[in-house]
Amino acid sequence: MLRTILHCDMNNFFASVECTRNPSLKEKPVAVCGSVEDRHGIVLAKNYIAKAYGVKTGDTVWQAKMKCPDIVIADPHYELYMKYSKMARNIYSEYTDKIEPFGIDECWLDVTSCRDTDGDGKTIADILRERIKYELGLTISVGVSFNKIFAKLGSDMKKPDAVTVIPSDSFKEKIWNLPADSLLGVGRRTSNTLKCLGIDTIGQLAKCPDEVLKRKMGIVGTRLKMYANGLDTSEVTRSDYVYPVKSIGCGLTFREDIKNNRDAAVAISKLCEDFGSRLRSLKKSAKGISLFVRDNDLNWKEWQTSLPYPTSVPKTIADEATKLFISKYKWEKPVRTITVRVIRLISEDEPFQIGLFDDVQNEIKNEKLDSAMEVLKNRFGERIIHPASFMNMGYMPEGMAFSALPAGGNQHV
Amino acid sequence: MSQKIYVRVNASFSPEGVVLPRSFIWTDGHQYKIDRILDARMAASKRVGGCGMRYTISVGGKDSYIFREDDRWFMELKETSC
Ligand SMILES: [Mg+2]
Repeated sequence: MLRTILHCDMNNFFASVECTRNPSLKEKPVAVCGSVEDRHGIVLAKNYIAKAYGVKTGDTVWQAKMKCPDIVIADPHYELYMKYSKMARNIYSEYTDKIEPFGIDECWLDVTSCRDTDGDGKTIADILRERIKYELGLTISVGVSFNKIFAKLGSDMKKPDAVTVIPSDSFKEKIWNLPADSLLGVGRRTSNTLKCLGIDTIGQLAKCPDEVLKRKMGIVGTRLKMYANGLDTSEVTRSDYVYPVKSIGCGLTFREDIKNNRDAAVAISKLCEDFGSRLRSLKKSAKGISLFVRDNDLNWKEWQTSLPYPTSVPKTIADEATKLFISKYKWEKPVRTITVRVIRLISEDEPFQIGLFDDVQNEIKNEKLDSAMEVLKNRFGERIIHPASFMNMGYMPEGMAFSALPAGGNQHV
Repeated sequence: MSQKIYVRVNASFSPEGVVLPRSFIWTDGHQYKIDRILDARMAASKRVGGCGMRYTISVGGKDSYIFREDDRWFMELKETSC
C-alpha cells in the first residue's frame, strides 16, 4: 500500500515568529540578525518584503541595510522559536504520532493511518495549514506525496501558505523537469558532479544508467537515482524516538582579532554562556563539544572532544572548550572567529557514569550558580548579570554577534 | 494600532485542568466580572500579536477576547486615534 507522507515547512520561520509577535512589523521589511550593534551580525532569516529587496540569509547587517535602508533588524529570540516549533508539533500530533522533525521548522508526518478518518493527504494538509495560521499566526507550506523525499520537494515548490501534491501516478510530469539539486541530498558538490555527467534535471538523474552513477559517485549516486524514481522507502521516524536537536552552536566574529589565550578564554566563556538555558529548555545534556576556529587569513580548523560527563553547565563546557583551544591552537595567526558547539546531546534524565576523579560537588555548585543567573536574566533581561571577566572588553560586541545559524543550520538533525 | 494589555485575572482551575477566567482588572483599575464564556480555542491575536488559549467572554453585555499565553493573560485594546 502506498503511504501518505506530508512535509510541513514553516515559512521564513524566525522572521515570521517576530512578525506574528509584533504585528506592526508585518508591512515592513524585517530581518532577524545575530547582532544589531555589531556590523559583523548576519541575517538569519528575513520576511518576503525584505527578500524582495534582495536581502539574503547570510548577508551582513550592513549589506542588508545597503540593499534595503528601511529594513527593521530584529534580535533572535531562540526560546520563542522553540516554543512555536513545539506548538506546531502539538497540532501535528493530533493527527499522527509518526512525526519526524527536520530542523526547528520542518517535520515529516506519516498520515497513512488517518486517511479513513481525516481524509486524504491534501485534505489533512489543508487542515494543518489553516490551523497553524489560525492558532499560531504563522504560515506553512506542505508537500504531500508517497515518500519523504517527494514530500520535502513538494513543500519547497510552492510558498508560502500552500499545499503541493506529488502523486504517484503523475510525479514524472510534475517534477522530472526540476533541477536535480532540488532533491533532498543533492548539495552543491553533488550537483556539480551530476552536471559533469550531463545531468541537470531530476528526470535525467532518474534515467541515468546505474554503472555511470556508481563509478562516479558510488552508492550515493544509485541512492539518488532511486529517490528520483520515487523509490525512497525510508520511514518517518516517530517523534519520541528521535532527539530533534543533536547539537547547538554559538559563534562570534570579533571586531578586533584575538591574539592570546587569555582573551580567547574570555571569548569562549562568553560564547558558552547561553548553553545552560538552551540545553535546559531542550532537557538535554551534552556529551561533547566541537570547536571551530578561523584565523584572520580565513583559514579554519575544527576539533572535537568529549566532556568528562554529560552536562548542561556553561562553565564546565567553557572550561573544556578553553582547554581544547589552548592545546590545539598554535598561534600562527590571530583569531577572527570562534564557534563552540555542544554535540552528542542526550536527554537529561538518561543515566550516565561519573568518572572517579570528577569533582561532582563542584559541578552541583556550578549548576546552582547558573540557575540563579538564569532566574535573574529572566526577570531583568539578558544584560543584568555577567561573569566579571566580561566587563571592560573592548572587542567584545555588546550583543553577541550571533548565537544561531540560519533556520535548520543551527540545530543539526 | 491596537495595544496588548496584560491584565490581572481571577480564574478557576478544575480538577481536570480546565482553566476559566472569572474576572479581570482593566487599565482603569476596576475589576470586571466575566458574565459568560462564549467560546474557548487556541488562536493567534492578529491585532496585537502572540497566541494562546483565546476565550470569548461577555462582560456587561459586551463581547471581547481574553488570551491566556503561557502564564499571562492579555486583552486587545482597540485604539481608534492613530
Ligand atoms: Mg522553513
